[in-house]
Amino acid sequence: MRVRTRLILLLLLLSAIFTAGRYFYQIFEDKRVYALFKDNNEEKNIYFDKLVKLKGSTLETLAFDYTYWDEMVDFILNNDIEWAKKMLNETVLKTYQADTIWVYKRDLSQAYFINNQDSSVIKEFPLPREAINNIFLKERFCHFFVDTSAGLMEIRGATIHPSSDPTRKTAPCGYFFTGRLWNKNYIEELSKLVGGQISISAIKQAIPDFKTLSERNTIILSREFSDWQGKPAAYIYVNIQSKEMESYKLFSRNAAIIFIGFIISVIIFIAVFLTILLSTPFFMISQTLKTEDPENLRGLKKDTSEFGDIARLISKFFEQKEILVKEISERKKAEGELKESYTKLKEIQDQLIQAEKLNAIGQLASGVAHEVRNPLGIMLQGVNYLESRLSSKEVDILETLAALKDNIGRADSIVNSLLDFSKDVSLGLNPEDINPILQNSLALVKTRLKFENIDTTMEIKKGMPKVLADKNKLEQVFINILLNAAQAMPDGGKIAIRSFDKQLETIKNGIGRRVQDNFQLGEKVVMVEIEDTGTGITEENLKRIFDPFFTTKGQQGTGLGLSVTKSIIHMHRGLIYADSKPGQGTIMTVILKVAER
Amino acid sequence: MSIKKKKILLIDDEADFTKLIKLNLELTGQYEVKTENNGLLGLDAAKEFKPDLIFLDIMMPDIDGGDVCSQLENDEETKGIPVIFLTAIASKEEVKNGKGSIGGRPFIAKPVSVRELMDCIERTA
Repeated sequence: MRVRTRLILLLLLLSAIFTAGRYFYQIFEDKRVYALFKDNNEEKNIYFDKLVKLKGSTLETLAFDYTYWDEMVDFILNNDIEWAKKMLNETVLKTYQADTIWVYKRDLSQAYFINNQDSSVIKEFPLPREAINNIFLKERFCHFFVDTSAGLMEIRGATIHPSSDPTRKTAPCGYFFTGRLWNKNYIEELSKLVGGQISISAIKQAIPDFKTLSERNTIILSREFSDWQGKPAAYIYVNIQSKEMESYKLFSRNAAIIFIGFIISVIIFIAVFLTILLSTPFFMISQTLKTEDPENLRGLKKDTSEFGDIARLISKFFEQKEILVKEISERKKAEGELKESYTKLKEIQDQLIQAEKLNAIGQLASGVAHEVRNPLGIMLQGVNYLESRLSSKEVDILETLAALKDNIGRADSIVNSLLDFSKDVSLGLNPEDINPILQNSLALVKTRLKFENIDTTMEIKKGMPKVLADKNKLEQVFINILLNAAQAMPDGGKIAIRSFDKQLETIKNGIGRRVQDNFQLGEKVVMVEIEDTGTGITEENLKRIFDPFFTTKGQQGTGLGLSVTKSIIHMHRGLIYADSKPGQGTIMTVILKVAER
Repeated sequence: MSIKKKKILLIDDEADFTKLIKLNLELTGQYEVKTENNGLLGLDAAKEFKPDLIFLDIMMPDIDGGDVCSQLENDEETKGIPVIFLTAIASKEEVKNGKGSIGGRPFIAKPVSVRELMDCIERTA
């Protein structure tokens, strides 16, 4: 796995850990919010109850104060309407925020009734008269709700007693009721005070569970209002949208967003930082190893980190490698030089042996020449003498003498070859056109070739550069090759002579292999090929054809022809070689140096 | 027949050879030939006979052709006489090219025919 991938995975893991942490924190936060909401809810409940109590207290005071009053007792007894109109007027209603007042005598007959504009539709006490007795059967005060034609009404009542009876132990002198309508205005006022929406319902409504409400930031307070018998008269619902919770949650959410944003920025920063910190040196190191160029590490080498250590190690490695490579190449060079000098030595040794051989042959040749040629000279003179003394009629004798002369010539040519071979004959080198030399050579042997039923063809290239050559020696070479070719074709055949110039392309023995080779690769040369369709030369013999005294012609050959040929070509600083396939024929190739201009 | 015969001295240790050359050259009627088979005798003969041309073999016993040649050169009487060496150890090629010379003098390689000898005499003497 690549380091970059690992880094990414590490950062992803970090992100996951942070996310998980944030998640658990959020659970904790949610619990806190829930608890907060619960507190808030509790608070609102208490507040609402207190509010209702406070608002209701005026009504309670009215009912309490006006029933513990001698003048009220007198009014009931004397039925003084004027007093009632004066004392229980609309100002009183307004002061105590009441809408109606009913006063009943002990016999439950109505003594007084007053209402205001809001409760103008209400004429009668909203309960049956008999109920009054029941209401005060146990208690001296009452508080209940009742549904009227003007809406829900809160009613407070008390029994009327003289001031001499503060504990209201005596039988009631009458009954006092005051009512307040929970109309639109009052509910709005309450709503404002409680900070929510108040609604009243005759039937019980389903309230969403606490959790749902918490999520909606909604506090719902519900109260059940009892009628005079203690049964539910109405239900009040207060719907409060908690601004605090909302803002708290918003704050919490924003905090989460800021936190996550911060974490993401930190991770991105770490990723970028690590990439720069790790990837760059890694890239430099891998690039260096790929290109094998320690120059790439120049900057990193000064680094004090572990990367610096690695860079220094790598460049040291390359330095050592360079030294090693240098050593190896030097060793190889030395080895090559050793090999070359060995080859040279071998060659010189061969040359020495050859020279020794040649020297021996030379001495032998001189002796042989002297001892053989003197008798030959005498014989030739003898034959000359006999020829000149004979008349032309003596045909048989003359023919015999001619045969003698021929054989003297043959013996002489053997000695001649031997001498040519052994002597360091100097050449007269001149720039020559190779084609006339070839044509001359062919002309000299053509008659014989024709006689032996051999066809010759010549493909000569015109306008070739001149070669540095001894014309006569080269003629000798080509004649020798042509005669050898002829001897390889006892039943006739074909000889093709080709001349052309070319640039040397392939390494061969004697071409471009060693410094002392006569030819270098790419050198321009003139080549002559003489191809026959003769018996060919076996691979075994092919190696030896240029050796002195090697012959396959038995008595007919001196074994010196090709040796002499080779030494002549070598004196031209040229090259001669043979390619042959037994049964198919032989190609002799002569390569000659172009005369420098 | 008023043509003066050219006088040729032939010095070679091979008696048969000198004898046959003498016969052959004199047979042409153009030459008077004296032969010697020894270098020292040859020197004496050169002074006495005063030849137009001397054919001198190189490889001889007692005194070889080279020494004979230098003595001839050193002698006032004989130093003007052209000398042509006869040798068995030169190849035909050398002679034909005219490249070869022995001590700056021309030579003829053995075996030699009468025709070659005559050509050589006509060229030189």
